[in-house]
Amino acid sequence: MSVDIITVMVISVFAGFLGSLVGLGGGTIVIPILTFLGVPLKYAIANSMITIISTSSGSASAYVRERLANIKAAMYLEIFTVIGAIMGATLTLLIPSKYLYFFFAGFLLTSFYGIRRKTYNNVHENTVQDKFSKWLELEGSYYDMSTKRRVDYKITKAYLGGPAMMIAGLAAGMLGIGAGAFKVAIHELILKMPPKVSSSTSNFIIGMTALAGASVFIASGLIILTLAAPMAIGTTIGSLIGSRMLPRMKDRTIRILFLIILVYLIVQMLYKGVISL
Amino acid sequence: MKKFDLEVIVSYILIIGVVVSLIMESLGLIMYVINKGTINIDLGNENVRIKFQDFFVYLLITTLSVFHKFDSISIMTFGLAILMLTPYLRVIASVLYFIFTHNYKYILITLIVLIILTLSLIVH
Repeated sequence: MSVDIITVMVISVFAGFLGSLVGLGGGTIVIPILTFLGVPLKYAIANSMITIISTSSGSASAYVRERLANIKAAMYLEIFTVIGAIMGATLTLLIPSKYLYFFFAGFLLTSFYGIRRKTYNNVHENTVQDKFSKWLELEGSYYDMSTKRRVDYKITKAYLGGPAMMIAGLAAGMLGIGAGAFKVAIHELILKMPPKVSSSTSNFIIGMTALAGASVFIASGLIILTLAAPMAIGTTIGSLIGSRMLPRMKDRTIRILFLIILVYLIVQMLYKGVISL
Repeated sequence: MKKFDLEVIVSYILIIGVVVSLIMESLGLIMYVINKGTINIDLGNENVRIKFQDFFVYLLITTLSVFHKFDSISIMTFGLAILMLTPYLRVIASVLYFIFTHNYKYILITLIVLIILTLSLIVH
């Protein structure tokens, strides 16, 4: 293997930067690049989980203070994502790497949801809550800076959203990623969360899911300090720079960038999968 | 009395945890490169491999080790332990908050998350 600390750090800054610009998350970008450089896939996945705890917790901190993340919804959904992540990480230890490449490529397709949601940035007004969601007190309000008004919202179909989040957790634990696009899709399409609440609550949940997945990988000895540390430092720095640049970037530029990166990552993982068969 | 604000407490736990862990990991990494004279990542090097069965025992050993040795490996390991502790502390803060506010539903929900996480950190 021919990677060193400096290379991993540079790649991670780049991945964190691009990830925060296009909303993919650093893990999704850094794992395919590391495998391309010769890091075994399972090591890349396991060490990426540590990175995700750092980037997710860092950005979630701001969202929580601004009351964008719904903590009650997050706590309820975490029951499912945490179980899913433990199952997913255990599966990764059992499945041969060659199949994981295909799972990774397949799961990247769910990221296309990110493109669609940018065009429909609407808030579901007058959501009728079912009894279970009402019992769970799944509602909230936040101040929307762009429209300069307070938005009150209600979350529904928690009985469906919870189990669906187990699949998101499973994919996250299995592939060493946040699976943010998948979580956001569940939040918006099933639970009817407003987009801003959806992405910030997803970010909040990702850190906890990553911890559950990381606990499995650590017990199996896949975490390497000299790999995990530069990944965590680099991705966090990169995502901080990216989040500062984001307001200055044109929406169209971001979407084109997103498409190019996504297609590249899918092709690369499929290629690695095919040659390892 | 000022209202117990869960959002603010959780927000501080997350940011302090991440900043402290990144500082420790950066410091450890710099010391590692200087002391070992290499930037290569050797996946076969058992000294840099983290493996434990019980996180809480590991946390205790790591904390004692960082104050006792203060070498690159123990500092990086401590940084990693702090990072893992961050979301865990966030759940504990949530449990305490719901106990203070007598929200029994959420005491139960947060306790379920806490129990699953604790088990995943100690049982393999």
